[in-house]
Amino acid sequence: MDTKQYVNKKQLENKIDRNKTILKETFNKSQDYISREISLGNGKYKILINFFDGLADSKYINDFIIETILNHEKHILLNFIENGPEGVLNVFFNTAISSSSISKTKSLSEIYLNLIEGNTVIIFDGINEAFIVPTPGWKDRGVGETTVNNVIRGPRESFTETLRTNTALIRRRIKDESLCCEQIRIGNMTKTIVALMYLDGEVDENVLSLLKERLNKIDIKGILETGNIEEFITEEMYTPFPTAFNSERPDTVAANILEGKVAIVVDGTPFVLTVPALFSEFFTSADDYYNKWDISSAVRLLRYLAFFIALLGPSVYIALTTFHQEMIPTQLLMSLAAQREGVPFPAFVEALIMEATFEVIREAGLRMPKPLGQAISIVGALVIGQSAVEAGFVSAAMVIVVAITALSSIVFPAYNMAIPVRMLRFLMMSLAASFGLFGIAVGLFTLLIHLTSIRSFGVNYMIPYAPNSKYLLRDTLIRAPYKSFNKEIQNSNIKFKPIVLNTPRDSNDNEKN
Amino acid sequence: MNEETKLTPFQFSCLVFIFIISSSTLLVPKLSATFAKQDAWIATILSLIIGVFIVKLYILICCKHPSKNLIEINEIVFGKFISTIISSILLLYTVIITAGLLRQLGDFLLVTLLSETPIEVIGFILILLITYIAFNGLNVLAMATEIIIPFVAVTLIMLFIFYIPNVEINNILPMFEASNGEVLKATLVTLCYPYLDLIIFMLLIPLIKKDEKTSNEFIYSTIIGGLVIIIFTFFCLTILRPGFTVNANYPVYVVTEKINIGNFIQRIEALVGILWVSSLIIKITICFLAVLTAFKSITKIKDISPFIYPSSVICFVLSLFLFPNIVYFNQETIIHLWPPLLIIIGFLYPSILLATIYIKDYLNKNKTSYTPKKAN
Repeated sequence: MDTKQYVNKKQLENKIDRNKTILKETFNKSQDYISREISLGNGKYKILINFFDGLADSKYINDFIIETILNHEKHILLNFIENGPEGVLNVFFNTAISSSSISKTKSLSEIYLNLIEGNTVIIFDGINEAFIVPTPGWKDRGVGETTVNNVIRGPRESFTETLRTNTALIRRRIKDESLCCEQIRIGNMTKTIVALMYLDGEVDENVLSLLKERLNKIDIKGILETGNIEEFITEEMYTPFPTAFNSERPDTVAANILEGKVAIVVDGTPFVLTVPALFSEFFTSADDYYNKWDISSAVRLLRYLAFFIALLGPSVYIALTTFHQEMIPTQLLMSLAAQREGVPFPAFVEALIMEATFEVIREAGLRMPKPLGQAISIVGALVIGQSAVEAGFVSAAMVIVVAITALSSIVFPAYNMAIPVRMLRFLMMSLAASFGLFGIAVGLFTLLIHLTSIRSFGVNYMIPYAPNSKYLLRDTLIRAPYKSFNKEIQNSNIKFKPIVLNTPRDSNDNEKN
Repeated sequence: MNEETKLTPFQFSCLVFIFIISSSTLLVPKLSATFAKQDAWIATILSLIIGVFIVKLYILICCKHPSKNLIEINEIVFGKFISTIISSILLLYTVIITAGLLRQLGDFLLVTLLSETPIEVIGFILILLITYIAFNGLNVLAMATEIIIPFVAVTLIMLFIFYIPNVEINNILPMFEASNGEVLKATLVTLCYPYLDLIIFMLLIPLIKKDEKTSNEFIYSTIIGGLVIIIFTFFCLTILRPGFTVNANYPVYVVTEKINIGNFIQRIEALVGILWVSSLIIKITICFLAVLTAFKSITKIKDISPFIYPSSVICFVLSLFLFPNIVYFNQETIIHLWPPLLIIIGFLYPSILLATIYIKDYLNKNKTSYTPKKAN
């Protein structure tokens, strides 16, 4: 654990009264700090027990620390008389306290950190060392169901806010000794533990060293969510596209680790980052791998289609109705023209109004207090949809286009891929309004160049589309059947082998079975 | 321009393929029909055969000096003074071809999709995009091409299938009616546009991963590109008749307008327009990168990026002022001005270069074979 940067030189002293005042002075404005002095043999020997109320498990402290001390009173005193304070320490360290891990420390800052993490610190008279007994007992949310990355078939578990639970959830899925879990602390105030989990030997060493270098460079007050470090560790600042993947599903993260990526678990958030992230990754959902390959492939194709509809829906409508009417079948054109007869705005303004309205509804739906849910749907469906058309603000066709676009942007399994699409949609609309299909082509081309130029931890974002890798292509636009993956991919030394075939060891086992 | 990583053979062949099909499919049917009438398709086949040999010529030169571009080879072969003159001519040629292609795309858009937009605006948008790509470098362009290529392939196959119902073989019927001279003329002109232009790639070749596959890929993609051109010419002649093919500005575009499958798939020419826009953008960018590479090699400047903006402005302005209008461009420039220029730069000059390389090699070999004898 890299705690060195927070350690100051101050250490415990020998006198227990002095130590008590030091601690009292440090926490004198915190009333949840509890310091209990136990004096044995009518004040012959003193032991100080420190912990934070609410963070430490007070029942454990009562049952296993204080009660043990009181039960062993004679034993302790006897040792004190025979061997001095060192004797007392030995009694405690070897026999007295029933806890799986006890550690000793002299440093004050380490004591503070341990106290705040919910551990109990025991200080003895005449000794400049303190005992640290892990007694974390704060309340946390249990492992619940997923709320964002939902699947129909697949595990229901989702990560929680506790780091240890999260790393355990991952480790329970990858029962291999090569799974590493390195931890560092980031944030001068929050001192948040950040754990890196990866498979030793499978992981891309460049990515790992790059990640560690960037994590060590972070110098901020606090980290409360993975988003806080995401911006620090990704190299592309000027891109709307996410270059780190986040998920609340342990199985997705485990799959990514198996592919040779690195998972970044941050204490205090149920969202775990995995890097490097590839463009195609944002179009995969966990249950693509749990359903049959043909069904998953069809759904994937649907998602890519949805990507283009979400990006280009309104702009193609604008381009067709204002520039290329000849491309619309005549009868449809007639009915469109009839609808647009009463509409006072050009198609672009019409689309802009509707899109902006939808974004407002969407944001409102996200932020509103739960009891107001009904109101939003009434406003959305009736007032904006029906009445806007009847009032002659927009044409009915426009409402349909906006509705399809809106639905398409919800299809993405990864929410943070939908955001750049929503933003770029407006750019595309203005390009379409000024140059028609040519504008859309130029916009798409620029987007393509931008996507191919960005990198995530030194890895091209558009892998495996470009540079083309025919092995990896089986798990992108479609999800090819597992059996088609086997031999060639095993023998090739490509990065990020599909999760269907994680390690050579596993597949050998399968063959034996 | 980020030149650290090199292209894969597949990326290279994608670039060559797009380079060949982009502007040529717009030009070739019209040009070859101008001279050879209904026998134009023979001319395109002949030119493909000759084109393959020309590509072979380019590969031979490159194999003699691997990881050197044309201008560096020039310097090795001809010495500093002469090579500077030749290289400057090459640089000018790349600038003019970039400007010409830019104008061609501008004209195409003006005629087909955006009849009311000033060409300056179209050109400006295009040059902005091209400058942006140039800043990202050939590698990014190649990756983008790699992603586009499946869409291009699907669109082409779809088009070819949709054309079939309209085909009238009678239109090309009396076969072999054109005289040998006419067919030769047509062959020469069609040879210029896709194949002799390929000399541009000799400027970029050091950026490409050296592989024995690369030279094969170069030839294969040339052949596939050539076949696409032949097919388009054939469809233009059979669907539009030779006369209309000559008169239409963009015969392929007109052919696509005629598609009508079950009264549902019709008037998809704007889609085709987009196909050409994107492939022409790639082609122009390749030429523009060649301008920059040529400039870099001649002046031996380490960092070319400060020169990207000025070069793009020069190309943009030249595209507006070199050609007064579309008629001049399509009649004068394409038929009378560029073919001789291209034959000199794309065929005569490399032949002389290769001959010189061989003669020098021969002389050197005699020298070296002579020296060991001395030692003995």
